Amino acid sequence: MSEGNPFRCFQGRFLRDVILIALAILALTFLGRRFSPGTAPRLAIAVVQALLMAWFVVMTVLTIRRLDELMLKLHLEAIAISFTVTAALIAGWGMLELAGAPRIDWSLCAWPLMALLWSVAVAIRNRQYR
Amino acid sequence: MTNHVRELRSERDWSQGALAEQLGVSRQTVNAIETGKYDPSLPLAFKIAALFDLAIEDVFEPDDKPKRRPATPAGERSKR
Repeated sequence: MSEGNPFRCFQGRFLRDVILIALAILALTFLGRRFSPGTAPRLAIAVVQALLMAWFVVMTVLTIRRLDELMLKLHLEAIAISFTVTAALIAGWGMLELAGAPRIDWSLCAWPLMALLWSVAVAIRNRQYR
Repeated sequence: MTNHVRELRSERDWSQGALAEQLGVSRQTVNAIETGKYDPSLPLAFKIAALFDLAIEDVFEPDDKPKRRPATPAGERSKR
C-alpha cells in the first residue's frame, strides 16, 4: 500500500467489517420478508438492521478521528462536498419528479452516491497535496 | 506561510518518514508542509519547532510579516 493512499485507513479491518455489516443487513432484509409487517420478528429484525447501521456510523467516525490532520482535512472536505451534492441532487430530482420524471428510491441510491462522491473528492484533493 | 522544515530536516539527516514518525503524522503531511502546500495546525507547528529545538518563528514565517507596533507602556494603555 502506498504512503500517499488516502483510503488506506478504510482498508483492512474497516473494509472487512463494512462488508460483513452490508451482508448481514442484506441477509436480514431477505429474512424480514418472511414475516408480515408489524409483527414482532419483523420489528426485531428492523431494530437489528438499525443497530448495524449505527455501528457502521461509529466505525466510520472512529476511523476518521484516527487520521492525521492533513488527511482529516481532506476527508472532511470530501464529506462536506458529497453531503451537499447528494442533498442537492435529491432535492433537484424531487422537483423533476413533480414535473413527471421517473421516481428514484433514494433510500437505496443515496449511500452509494455519497460514497462515490466522497471517494472522487478525496482522490482529487489528495492529488493537490502530493 | 513559508517554512524551513526541509532545510532543518536535511541538516539532521532525517528522512521525511523519520520526521513524520516523530511527529505522529503521515509522510505525505510532512511533504505537503515542506512544499508549502499545507500549513500545519498551531499544535503541530509547535511540535515541529520543539523537535528542532527552535522557536516557532525560527521555523515558520508569514509571507507578509505584520509590522510590529511599538510597545505601549502599561500606564499609557490604562489612560485610554
